[in-house]
Amino acid sequence: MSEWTGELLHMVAQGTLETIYMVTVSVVVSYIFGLPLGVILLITGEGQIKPNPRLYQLLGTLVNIGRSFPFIILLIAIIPFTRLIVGTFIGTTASIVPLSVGAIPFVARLVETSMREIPRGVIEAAQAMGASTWQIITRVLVPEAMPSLVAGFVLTTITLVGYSAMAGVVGGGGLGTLAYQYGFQRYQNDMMVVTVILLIILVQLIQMVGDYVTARVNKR
Amino acid sequence: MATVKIESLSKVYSTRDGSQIQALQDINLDIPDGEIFGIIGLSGAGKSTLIRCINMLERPTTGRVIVDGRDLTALPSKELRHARRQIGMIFQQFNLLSSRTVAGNVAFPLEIAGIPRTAVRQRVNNLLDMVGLAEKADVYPAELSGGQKQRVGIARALASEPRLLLCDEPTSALDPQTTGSILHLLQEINKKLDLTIIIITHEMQVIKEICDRVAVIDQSRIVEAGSVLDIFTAPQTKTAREFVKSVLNTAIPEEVRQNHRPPETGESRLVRISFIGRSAGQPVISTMIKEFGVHANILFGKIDHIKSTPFGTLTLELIGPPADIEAAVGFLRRQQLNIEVLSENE
Ligand SMILES: Nc1ncnc2c1ncn2[C@@H]1O[C@H](COP(=O)(O)OP(=O)(O)OP(=O)(O)O)[C@@H](O)[C@H]1O
Ligand SMILES: [Mg+2]
Repeated sequence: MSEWTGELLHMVAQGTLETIYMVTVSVVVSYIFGLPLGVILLITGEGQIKPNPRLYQLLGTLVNIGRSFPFIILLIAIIPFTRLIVGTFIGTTASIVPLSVGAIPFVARLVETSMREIPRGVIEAAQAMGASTWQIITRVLVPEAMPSLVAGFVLTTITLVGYSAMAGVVGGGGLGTLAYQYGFQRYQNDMMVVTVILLIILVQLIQMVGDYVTARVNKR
Repeated sequence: MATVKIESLSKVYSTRDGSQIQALQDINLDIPDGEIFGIIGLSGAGKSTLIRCINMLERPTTGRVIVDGRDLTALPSKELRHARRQIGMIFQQFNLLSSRTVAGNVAFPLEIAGIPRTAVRQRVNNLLDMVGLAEKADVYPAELSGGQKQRVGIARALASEPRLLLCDEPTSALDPQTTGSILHLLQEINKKLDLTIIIITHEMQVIKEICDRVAVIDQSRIVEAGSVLDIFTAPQTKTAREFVKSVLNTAIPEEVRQNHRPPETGESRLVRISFIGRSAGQPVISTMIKEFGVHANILFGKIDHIKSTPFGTLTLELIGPPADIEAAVGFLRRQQLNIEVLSENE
């Protein structure tokens, strides 16, 4: 049993912040790429506002491939890419690359599915009023799908908390690294328990805030 | 106001399995300024396809759609978007944006057209006043009844001051009373704004209440077109007759039929007389009885209105010698009444 010294407390606090940092940045990055990708997937689909079977097929296949990679394999497989971008593959900043890359196809599908729920007639009404494709995306698709988009955002964030712990095992930093290095390798069970509890609290908080926002934006 | 001319329009859908569906064939229509034009047909006849071809929501396979002299089928997409702002549209399912308030929905077409905020607010208020929903401005569509939603749809369609309003089954999701009030509103804006209205429906009631002219569409073709009065008084096709029958029930009620006994002396014939507008006031029947010496037994009568014109039917049993009955029927025909001889009793 370890003593809960100031140093350990400091490490736990640091680990929590690192996890929050990794998750936040990778959520943002995955939406920067995933949201447009999801929109393109939707509008190029059959019978949608900009049908383009080839593009739809191509992007759909890429997204499917991305999603079928187990995260732990992706983590290792893209190490060269991570090195290229960040210069190293160890540490929190380096973890952001696989976390984002892993989440982009996930986000794209979530976004596409959310927007697909909008009744076709609502989009047609906008077309009939003379709206351009861009106006339809920004003024119809995004706002109409907002409750569902927020729910997807929450799901993505929570999934990334889990993935970030996995990244931690291979030196990615954050609570995952703490749990692995102290809890597993040095048999400090209390450290394991503390990190797990912190992860649970984090996920609960995200879900609560998410549910609140979802309810607020839902006008249906 | 706007004129709409549809020239030899056809539409073929290609389905996924490679087969083709001919949804419209050789459609020709000429709709003048300020008219309320109805298009009626059964389910699957091609009504929605036709109205959607007018604003190019559906691209016609062949033919032209000319609105105010401009061929919409030939416009590049940017110009088409501008042309669409001059054409309002309302839908059976209303198709309001659930994320926007009533005022936000009505503002939508104005925002799209890039109209400044202050002008938008003013215009939205006026429109909501016109459709009687001023106090619902800040409510979301989920809290509205069907009739109120359609009113929002109408206000939204009128926001960009279109000259043509397309209505795809605007009352089919509404109860009869609400249908009446929506039709009344459409009629009002037709007069007040000098708006040309094209209305698609499968309910003859809608045609009867507000339309000036009507086209009957059956299995992808227009089989009959003309003034509503003409279609009601002299339908040419079976489809049209069925539709007329659905709202003007001129069949003799069963109890009348059962209690009716043929006369013991002489012959009798059942005739149905339809009369429109002014001739409803002339004493045709009494003249006939006096001049031809036949007896007339009134079995069943009904007066209805087509738009605001009175339209009546009367079923008579004429009794007397065959020659007199013949002469009496001839007389009735000469009165520009619509006569149908229903049966000849021996
Ligand atoms: N997008 C489409 N792809 C293939 N076929 C279609 C499509 N839209 C309509 N059709 C077919 O075209 C025909 C006419 O359809 P349309 O929707 O115009 O009928 P409608 O008169 O509006 O019927 P309803 O009263 O049921 O709405 C039908 O046979 C329908 O199955
Ligand atoms: Mg239809």
